[in-house]
Amino acid sequence: MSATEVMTGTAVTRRPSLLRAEVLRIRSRRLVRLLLALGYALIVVAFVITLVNTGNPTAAERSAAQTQADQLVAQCRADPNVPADQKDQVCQGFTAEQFLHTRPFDLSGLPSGALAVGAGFAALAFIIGASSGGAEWTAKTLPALLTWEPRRVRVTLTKVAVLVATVLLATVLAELLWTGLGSALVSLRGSWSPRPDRFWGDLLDTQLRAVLLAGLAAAGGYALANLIRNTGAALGLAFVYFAVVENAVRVLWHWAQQWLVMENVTALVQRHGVDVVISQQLDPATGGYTSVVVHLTNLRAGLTLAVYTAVAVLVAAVVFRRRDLT
Amino acid sequence: MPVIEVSGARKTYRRRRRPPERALDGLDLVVDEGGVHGFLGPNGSGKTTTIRMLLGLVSGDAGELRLLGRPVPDQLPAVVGDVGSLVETPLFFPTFSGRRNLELLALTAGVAKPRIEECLETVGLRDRADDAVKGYSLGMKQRLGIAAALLKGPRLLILDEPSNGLDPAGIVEMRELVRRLGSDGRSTVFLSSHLLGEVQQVCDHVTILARGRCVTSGPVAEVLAGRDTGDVRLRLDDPAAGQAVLEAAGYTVTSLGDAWRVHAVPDPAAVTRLLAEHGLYLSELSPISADLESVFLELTRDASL
Repeated sequence: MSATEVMTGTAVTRRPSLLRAEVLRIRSRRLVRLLLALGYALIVVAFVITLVNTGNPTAAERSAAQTQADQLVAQCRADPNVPADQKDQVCQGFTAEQFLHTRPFDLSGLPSGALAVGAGFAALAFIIGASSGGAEWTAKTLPALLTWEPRRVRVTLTKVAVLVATVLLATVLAELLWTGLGSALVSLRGSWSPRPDRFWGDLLDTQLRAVLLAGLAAAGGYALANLIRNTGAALGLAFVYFAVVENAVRVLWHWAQQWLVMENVTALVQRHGVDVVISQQLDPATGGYTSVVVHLTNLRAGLTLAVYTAVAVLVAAVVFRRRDLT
Repeated sequence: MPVIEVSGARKTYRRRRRPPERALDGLDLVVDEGGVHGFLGPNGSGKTTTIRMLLGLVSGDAGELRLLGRPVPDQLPAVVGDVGSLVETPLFFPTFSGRRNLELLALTAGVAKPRIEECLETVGLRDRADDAVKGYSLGMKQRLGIAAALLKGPRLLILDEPSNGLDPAGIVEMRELVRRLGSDGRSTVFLSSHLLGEVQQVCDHVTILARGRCVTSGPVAEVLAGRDTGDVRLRLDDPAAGQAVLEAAGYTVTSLGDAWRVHAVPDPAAVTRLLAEHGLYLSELSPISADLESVFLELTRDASL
């Protein structure tokens, strides 16, 4: 075929789709596939380890454990070294479960596991987001793409949208996987009763918040790497921020703790949010200190993190729009 | 209709801890539709910056730029589908195959899959298209870049140093390809190069750039003719006698080894006549044409003074 024929043919015959190109790109990235496979593998490994280390104790084992616990409670109550006004609080810590050699899988492990899966996938999402942004700067492929789609803000937002959608889907699958394996653990190594009211509703809420967190983490990782133009530097900066900056703020400026990323992440995923002590005031009446507490609800924490992420993406898009690609 | 118009383009790169670097200093450039237009200049003269500004990769400080009649970068999205480009060494995702890299670009612009195969075939990469790009030689990456530039079937093809990394056979093929593309009557090739021979062999028109400014522009033949020195090369049996006759008549003569160069000869027939009158007969007399190299060196030297 001659070059002339190549040039004069009707090249553009279908609808241009940056979105489809981005989906193909993220699907083709080995690191993304590797990290997600690692995440799913870890869930399966956790299931196997839990399966091996739990079991259904027999009635005799339960009875023996209860006897041991009762004896310790009695000894505790009789102990003169335990102040009388604290006996209830101290001695109620002994339960039969502590003396079982074969421990069952507790139903509460299901939402706890969902939380852990969400946290793990949020971390993976941040790495995937940062590597998606950083890889294009490292490989210097962006100029080539911009000679096909020069609208840079559109390019940034499309990339973020595809990335977030991919991570949301992957985290939903991870939560479904855990729900299936965790339910199997309850059936095989525990008991469905007594089951708290709204158990499944609360589990679903927890999982949805975890999925949201993963999506925000991916977008944040992309924005950071796009600003710094390097995956490693973005991950390093994130580590320094969480390890040094946030801890310094906790020590030096208590009032600012409510705005820290980690506090809001915790508040988002915990079922009822978290309380953050922002200051302690001297109570003249008692001479003691009273803590001023701010309650971070799931909603407030989610909105705070969403605003942080949106600002980061916006700044990354604006900087990218103005940047010379040489 | 001009496919590229640049008027008063200025660009200074400002970098931290380094002095500002002026890349373009009021560049004016017009490239008319059709043929191959060479864009020639020494390293650092602003060729790549001009191309990057045209493609919206770099923002200018001043000036007006138009591609296919549309102002850029404002209306670049409207014309980018008709502009194929290869800017310096093309960079692709190293872990993806050549074909996958082209697929990503094709999807972005809505180019059909068969076109990918056509372009791979054209640049001779079809057999290696499924290999990861990180295993490609520089020349193969360059071919892939040319394939990417051809994908859209562009009206304007901008090639920045397309011979970089190609072996001699690849360079010949690439030049042949550029020549064919420029002669198809539909497309215009804008070829940036610092290889004088390449431009002289391939281009119909040329713009020479130095220190961010256009120093000359026009059809290659006119640019060369405008710099014609009128020198002639001659060979005769008794060169010493010939030199004496010519110098006595006021000509400046220098040796070319096995021949002589007579400078600034307004009428070559007068030289023939003069030598014949002294019984000296020529075995060769030919005009020494200015080549692009001498023109380029002269113009860029002037600009740098």
